[in-house]
Amino acid sequence: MKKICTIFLTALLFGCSKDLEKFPLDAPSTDTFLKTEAELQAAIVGCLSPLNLRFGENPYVIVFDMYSDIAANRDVTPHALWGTPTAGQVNSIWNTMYTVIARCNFILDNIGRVETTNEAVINRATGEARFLRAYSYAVLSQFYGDVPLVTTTLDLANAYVSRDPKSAVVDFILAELDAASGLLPVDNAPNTMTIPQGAAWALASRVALYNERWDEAIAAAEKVMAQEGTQYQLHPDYGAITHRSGKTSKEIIWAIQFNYTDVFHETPVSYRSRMAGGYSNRMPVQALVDSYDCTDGLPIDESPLYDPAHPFENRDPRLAMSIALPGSVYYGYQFETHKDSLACWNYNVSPAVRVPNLDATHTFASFSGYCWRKYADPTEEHATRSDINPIIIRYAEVLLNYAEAKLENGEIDNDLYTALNKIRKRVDMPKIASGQTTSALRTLIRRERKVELAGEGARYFDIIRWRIADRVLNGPCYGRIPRGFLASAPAIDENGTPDYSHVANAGEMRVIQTRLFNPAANYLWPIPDIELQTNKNLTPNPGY
Amino acid sequence: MSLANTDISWETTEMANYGLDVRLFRNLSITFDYYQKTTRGILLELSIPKTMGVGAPFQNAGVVENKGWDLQLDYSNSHGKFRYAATFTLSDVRNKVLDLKGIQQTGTLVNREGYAMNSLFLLRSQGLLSAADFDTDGAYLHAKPQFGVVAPGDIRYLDTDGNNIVNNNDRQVLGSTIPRYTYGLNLSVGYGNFDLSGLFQGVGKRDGYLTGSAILPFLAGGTAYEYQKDRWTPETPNAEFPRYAFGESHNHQNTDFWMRSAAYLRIKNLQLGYTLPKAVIQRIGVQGARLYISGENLFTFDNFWPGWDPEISAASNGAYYPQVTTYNIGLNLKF
Repeated sequence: MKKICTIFLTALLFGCSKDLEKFPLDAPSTDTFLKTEAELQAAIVGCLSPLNLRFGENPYVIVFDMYSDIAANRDVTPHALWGTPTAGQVNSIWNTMYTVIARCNFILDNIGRVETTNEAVINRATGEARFLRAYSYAVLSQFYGDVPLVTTTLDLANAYVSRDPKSAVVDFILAELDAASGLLPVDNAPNTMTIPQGAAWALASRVALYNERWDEAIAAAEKVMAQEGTQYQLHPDYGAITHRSGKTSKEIIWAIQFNYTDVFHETPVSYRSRMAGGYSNRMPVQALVDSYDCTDGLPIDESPLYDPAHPFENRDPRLAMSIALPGSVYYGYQFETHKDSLACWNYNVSPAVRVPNLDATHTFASFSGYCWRKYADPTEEHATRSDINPIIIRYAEVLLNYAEAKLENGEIDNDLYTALNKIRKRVDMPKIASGQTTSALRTLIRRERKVELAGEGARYFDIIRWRIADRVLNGPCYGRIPRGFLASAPAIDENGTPDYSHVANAGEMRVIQTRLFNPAANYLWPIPDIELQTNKNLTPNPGY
Repeated sequence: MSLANTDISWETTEMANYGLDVRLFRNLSITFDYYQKTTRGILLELSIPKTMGVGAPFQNAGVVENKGWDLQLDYSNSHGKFRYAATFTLSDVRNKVLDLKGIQQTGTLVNREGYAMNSLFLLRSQGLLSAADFDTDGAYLHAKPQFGVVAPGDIRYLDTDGNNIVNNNDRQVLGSTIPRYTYGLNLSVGYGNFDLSGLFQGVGKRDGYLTGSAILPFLAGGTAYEYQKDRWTPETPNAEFPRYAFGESHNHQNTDFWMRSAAYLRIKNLQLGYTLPKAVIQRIGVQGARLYISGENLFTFDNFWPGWDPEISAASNGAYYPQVTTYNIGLNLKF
């Protein structure tokens, strides 16, 4: 090789054509879409599909509970999931909800392009788009507080939006849900993609409650309650609501649709015990187990029915329906997490046989000693293929929203007690007698909400809006005592939170993780870091 | 749906190359190349506000520069029955991202303007904390980290942005995973019917970074490696690992505390052969016969984590099938 010196420009490498394909060929582009009714249907499915969002293959809505005091994710603390501006779920929720919003905006901006004379199709799609956009803003405002309120399709020139006050976002949500309710179908059709009109009211009751707009919460809940018996009713079997047999229950107002063939989730494998072929990496914790009252309606620190030697007896039936308790049968195995229980019964064969008990000996058996029964249905064959639809909102929550809004609005009346007692009657818990003081009733409603909706994604938002997260989400998160039970009942406070400081053997409880909640910052999630970098008009949340 | 970009075009590369080729004393040749390459208009999905709710379009945006040189020396000679030859190669490349239109990534491996591609983006650490870093009430005396419980024996992170809070915004580019000064030496010597050859190969400078259970003992309830037992306790303040803490995330952050040099020298191959003399092979009716014994990946000299391959890709937990050491004994026959 001689001494050479070359400078050259490589302009075209191979196979060049003068005109590049400038529209994406593998997906519809914003420049060509929405001409036909079929495309409109596809577009609505496109608004729904981001809500199949999964975290660790579990639907996001039920993962929300793992951010709270009633459940834990073995691998990661709640703070690590949402406590920093670069945390994955901080980004995912933001991105997912704004994707839904943009798709809804696109439909609403361009629905005039659809060539059809069928007005019903246009109305329904409009209602669905407005509902889904409102839902997305509800989630965003719950987590991030003030968020940009984007209601039309943005292009790059006007994309650098700034944050709008949460109150304005909530105004928008409630107005939109009201409008959507007039466009959505009346009939509740659970286990389909249908969003019924009741879903708009139910969601409005929640958003209004979360934002302490009691009158609106009551009014919206009443509209759903007016359809009780025709469209909505409490499912007689509480444990079945989150199982397969409950998928068509009229209690479900709106759920995200999954199916067995292509859009499924893997919740069972996260939840199941080791014996049942699961990882038990997402689990209920001791603080939830101790939150269920005894069958006399008293918390365990007050009830004479509570026996520390048999802590799971005489308890609110929802405890055993929601949580796999040591000593119970779970997926055909004797579920026992006492560390000395080296063998257990396998009832899946006849006659039953004794087998080595992985739930006592496996390093990664449930750290708390408990597993979820909700969303873990033993009739599902494959642990990694669940088609149970995660419920966004069901009728019992509407009743609870109603009761709480009435209470906080100073309307302690028979309707309030009736709503509350309907939920309790289903599981044979004693009626709450009328004549309660405001604070006593507040405690009862908070306890009721905690156990009724446990494992369904409501708890995190409750401890945030009640401003109790800095108390319940700080310090050690406990599992059971590995070789025994608590010597006595923990003290249950006015929010239904157990306090173990006076239990003699509290130090023997397994510490699953140590949690951190900084009240100066963590009542809101951080705005995603990449979003702050990309859009200089956004401001960070305080403390991040 | 993605945003359509109608202004898209090809990327362009400018390259300058200077070469020198010299042969001295019949036995030594020297080859040297220097190049400088700038690639412009690299198609990137630049971040757009996620509030737009659409996928980012590809844009002709990135500019990346590579400057490097390659040196090769060949020498061969013989004295009577003794023959020897050596080939030495040394090359270096400096990679630099010149322009990303202001979009700075924030993962563990990042592309950021002014730094090499796939740089390590980490918190700067300063050893382990001791009781002296806390006041008598147990309050932490330095800028407060936002990663949960902090106690003596934890990693001390520095507040590089000076806002008195240590969080992910304090991360900086602290390491490069692109190998610098890659070298190889191919040696062969022979004496009579014996021949010996070897390939030595290595990297002069590279930052290695393992994640997950490779550096974090008992992660998520798992086990620990032997080298992770050297942990901080009040009695062992100079230990290599922080205190054991279960379910706490302070020490799980991406930090240069876990960064190690991945420079290495490896004896990639050694082979000793013996060619049978003509007199012998004629008797057994073949044209040539050579016996040999060889080994691959025989030794590696490095300062990386014990037991881990320094060539492992950065920011992984190292869970790959490792390079294996193999030994061969063979006989080549020529008919």
